[in-house]
Amino acid sequence: MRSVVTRDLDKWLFFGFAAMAVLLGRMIPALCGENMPQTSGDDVLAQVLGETRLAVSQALLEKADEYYHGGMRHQDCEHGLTAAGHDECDHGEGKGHEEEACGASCWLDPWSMINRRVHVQEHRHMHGAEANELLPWLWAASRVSADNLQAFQASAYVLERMLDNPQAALEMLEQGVARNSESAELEFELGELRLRAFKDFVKAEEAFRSALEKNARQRAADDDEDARNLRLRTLFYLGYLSQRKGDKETLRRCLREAEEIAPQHICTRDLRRLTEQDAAP
Amino acid sequence: MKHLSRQILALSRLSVLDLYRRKDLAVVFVLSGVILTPLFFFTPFGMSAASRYTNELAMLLVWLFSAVIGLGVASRLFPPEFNSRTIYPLLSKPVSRGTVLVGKYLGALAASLSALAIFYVAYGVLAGTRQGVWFPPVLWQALLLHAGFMVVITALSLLGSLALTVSANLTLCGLVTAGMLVFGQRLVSMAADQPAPGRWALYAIHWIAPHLEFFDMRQRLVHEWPPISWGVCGAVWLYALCYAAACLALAAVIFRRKKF
Repeated sequence: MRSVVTRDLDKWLFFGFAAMAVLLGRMIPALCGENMPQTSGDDVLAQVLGETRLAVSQALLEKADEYYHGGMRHQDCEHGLTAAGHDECDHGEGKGHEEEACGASCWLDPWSMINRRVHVQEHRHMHGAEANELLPWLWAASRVSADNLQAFQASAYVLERMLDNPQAALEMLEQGVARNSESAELEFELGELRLRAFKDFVKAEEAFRSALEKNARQRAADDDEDARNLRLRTLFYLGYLSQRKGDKETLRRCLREAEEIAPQHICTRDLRRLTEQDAAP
Repeated sequence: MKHLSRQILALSRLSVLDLYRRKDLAVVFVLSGVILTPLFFFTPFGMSAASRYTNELAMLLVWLFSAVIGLGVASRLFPPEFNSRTIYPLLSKPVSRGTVLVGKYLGALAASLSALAIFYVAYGVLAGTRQGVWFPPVLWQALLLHAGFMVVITALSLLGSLALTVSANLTLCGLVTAGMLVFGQRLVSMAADQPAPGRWALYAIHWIAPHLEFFDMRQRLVHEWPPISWGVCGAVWLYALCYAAACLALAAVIFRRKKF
């Protein structure tokens, strides 16, 4: 008799707790609304896989960067594919790093000394057609995750600047823009490429206007340094293209906005110079 | 002396035959072919001149499979003899335990090195056909140092096989091999960042554990860096011989005291 009562109690307790869990599950999101820690939209699986794909894509991009440095993972170098600047290196490549890195302590630790002799300590940069070696990693990085904007930017840079194939770079950036419709960075890169490599002023202007729309003014006005710089650079290009067309009104509008954002920025100064040139008889 | 060398040769021959009888190499080659063949026809962005990524992957497979073969062959030298009790007729012959140990070690090493030579010939042909450079000096140096790696891991695995079960030995040796290849170079800097007890543990590992990363020249080979000096090569080989000798000496002590 006692065991039947206990069993029934267990059953009712189970149903009670289950009902309470369901009720809480419905109530908490309704009460907390936007304060919930989870992001709305994607399901859990998509969120987890999305993050994983981005991490893998980033790892592949780092692999390309490693190849660019001759197999070295060189985080201090500012001239990596993932760094802001891609220009030539001016620090003596491949000279004396072994000796510098290995001082008197080497003789106290022979294992470290052997390691420094066997494994390359210096780095070098890829040049010209050698950059073909980067393509498999860049291709994979851009395919694994469309959210990795750097993968598209680095691919376009390698294809256009290092391998002299602007058409492939253009296709890459167009794919990037199609898959990242919110990205002002890719639109800007697309505009620059069309202007620099194809001299297609009309389509370049379209891309810059699109970049300006996507990079909201408010974002640039906030403490987002990258957004501010991007908006200033976009304004400069739009001003330059307006000057070429003889559209003085747009040029002045670009200068006005640039002065509001950062009066001493190099893009603002260049815009001011363009306006002065335009005003000169 | 001639008698001893004949005994060692007979014991070694058995290990080599065992490797080729088990068709491990055939499996490894088929697996490598399945992984690498699609990559040969891969042309990212319509450009097909890239070859380093296939070289890197091929070298990774060479290292992985050579470690598997080296550890596998050496770890299976004694346990089957103990389990099936065939060690009794072997030791009842006029052959010392030391000779059995050295003979079996040299057999495992010869088997592993023969597999390694085949891997490197295949790699040399692969890289030569894609890049047009046939067997550069750095490849020979990489092979030489990789052979040193085999000398160490077969000795280590043989020592483990006398003290542990096969699975425990393979797991432990595999972890040591992978761990040292990945972290070996960074042990000192990692130790410097740790608080006191962890720091001393890492320094102890740095001084005692086998520095298998000494033998890894993949970076130089794949990214076409120049070869290392032959003096350094000799120092690394001296390290390999000393480490293997220490492992074998310890194994000999354990084997001599072992009761079946």
